[in-house]
Amino acid sequence: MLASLAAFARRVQGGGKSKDAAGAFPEVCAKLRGIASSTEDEFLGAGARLMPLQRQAQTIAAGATSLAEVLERGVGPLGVLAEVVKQAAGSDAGELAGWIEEIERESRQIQRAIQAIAPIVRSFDVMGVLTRIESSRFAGGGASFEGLAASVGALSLEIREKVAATSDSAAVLLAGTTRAANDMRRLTGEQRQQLAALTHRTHAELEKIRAHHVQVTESGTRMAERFGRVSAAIGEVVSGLQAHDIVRQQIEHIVAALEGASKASAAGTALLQAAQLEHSTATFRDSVHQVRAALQEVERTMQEVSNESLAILGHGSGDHSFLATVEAGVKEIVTILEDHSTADHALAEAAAEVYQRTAEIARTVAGVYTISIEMQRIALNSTIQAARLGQEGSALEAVAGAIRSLADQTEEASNGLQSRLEKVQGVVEALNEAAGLRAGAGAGERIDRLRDAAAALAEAEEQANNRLDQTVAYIESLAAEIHQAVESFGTHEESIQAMQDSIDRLRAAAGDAKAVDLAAAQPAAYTMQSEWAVHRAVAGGDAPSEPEAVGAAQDNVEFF
Amino acid sequence: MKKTILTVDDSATVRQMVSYTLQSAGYDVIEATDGQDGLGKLSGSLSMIITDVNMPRLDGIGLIGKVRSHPQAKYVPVVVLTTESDAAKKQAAKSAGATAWIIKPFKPEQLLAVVQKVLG
Repeated sequence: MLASLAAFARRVQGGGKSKDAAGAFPEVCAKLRGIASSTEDEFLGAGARLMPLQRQAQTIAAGATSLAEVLERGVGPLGVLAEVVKQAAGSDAGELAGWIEEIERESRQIQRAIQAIAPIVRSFDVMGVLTRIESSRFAGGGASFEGLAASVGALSLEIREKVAATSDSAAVLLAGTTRAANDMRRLTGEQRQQLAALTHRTHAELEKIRAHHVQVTESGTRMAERFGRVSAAIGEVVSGLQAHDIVRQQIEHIVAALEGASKASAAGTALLQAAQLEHSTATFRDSVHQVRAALQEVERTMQEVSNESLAILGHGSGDHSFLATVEAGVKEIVTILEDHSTADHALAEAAAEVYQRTAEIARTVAGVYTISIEMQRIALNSTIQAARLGQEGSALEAVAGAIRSLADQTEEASNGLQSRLEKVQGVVEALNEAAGLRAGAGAGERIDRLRDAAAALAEAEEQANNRLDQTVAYIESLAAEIHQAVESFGTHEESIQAMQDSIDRLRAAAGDAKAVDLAAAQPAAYTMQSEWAVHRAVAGGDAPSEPEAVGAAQDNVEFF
Repeated sequence: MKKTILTVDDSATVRQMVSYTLQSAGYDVIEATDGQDGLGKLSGSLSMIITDVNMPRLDGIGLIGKVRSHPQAKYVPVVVLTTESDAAKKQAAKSAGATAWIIKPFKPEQLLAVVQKVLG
């Protein structure tokens, strides 16, 4: 800049004087005062707009940084949720179903065994009739078989009743175990189909949420850095706006010099002040270009950041599909686990009923066994007594033998039934133990953990989404404000042209003024090193001595 | 309790930028358009004065002198914020009782750093 001023100074040396140089000064002064006044309003407006934007940019950067902290709160619940969902998928009702089916099979066998006793019971009835018939042949004689007939009749009646009761109980038992087995098969099938697919889907959505968290966290870090740069750039613009004050002071010095010039020094003054004004115009033009370029750069950066941020952050803001799917999935899992819990309770009740019913049947069967033993005793007695009668007692002996045989069969059937009943009770006990573990602390705790983790995740997501909404709104507002700042600052072409016109006017007024003419020009009240530098460039060796300049301070600051 | 800073400058643009910078950092700011106006706003409640040098009616060095003889404000630190390049002027400000000297243009964070260092 100063080199070009020196070149300009060499060009003007050797020229003649303009006769009416001072005549141009009032017009130039008026124009320069107008420029200083009009540009101040625009610079003030730009400053008033930009400085709040710097604070907004800093707020967004801080918000972006804290976003990562908010999302971090969701990581814990996510981990718990994933673990519990996995556990829910792992719980298997297959083992219980196997036992239920075994109970069902044994129940069928018990029913068949009881049904197999029916012919024996009918045979007992026949034997009872035959016993009465044969006994009556010996009525009034030496041997009395009335008691035998009565006993056989009563016992066969009793055994029939007991077997009938056992049969009814066995039918109820079978119906109950069949129902329980069907329920377990259905539940097992449902679990395998629903829970597995559901947990897979929930897992996939949880992974999407994790990936989204990572994306947003990384974006938040990048955004914080970028907004930090935007804030710094706006700070540079604010510094650049101060050039107006510098130019304003220079113009004041120029006006003062022009107004204070005598007629004799007018040409030299015009020459010098034209150079000063040229320097001020360049400063002003550079600052306007600098501010506009910086504003436009900030606007471009803001647009890039907005686009990237809205693309990533917009995913979580207003779009709750991830969380909604996870929440729905967790609700379904909880429902299924609660169904299983209800089913487990029903299973426990059914098992208790089976146990009770088998105990009842066992008691009845024990009674049948007792009757069979009694029948065997009566049959043995009858056989002995019939044998004493010789040939006459042969029919009765045969009946007694048949009764004994039936009693033996009954005993055997009873023993077989008892074994099956004991086996069923053993399976019921094992079933209760396993179902108790599943329905006890395990499932209830899983349900509670699922609910707590889902609630914590929902809360963390809501906080993050609110923060994202705020950040997005800030970004959009900041971008719009910066665009307006760019538009309203303008190019100041009119002011720059007006300054250029004043330069031309002063040069014309200077005419062919020489550097030696500057000796008569009073040095203006320079306050800046740049003003002295211009003076030196124009006046060359004839420049007045200047005061000692302020030494260069580090970072523009010196403490006393 | 918020600290109050008096900014004295005949440039509305500079006053605007100084005010906003300080207010953003939590300070209360009083503005004065030149040294004479600043003189009328001196009080014991001020924590600092930031002043330009070249101003009409009463320049910055004159203002510093008045501050140092003001019964309530004589111990208030005064920071000079100026385009002035004359070393003699700087020495005069120092002799009058200025605390620091900042050359324009300034960056907001520079100004805040000076304020925070002076106020402690």
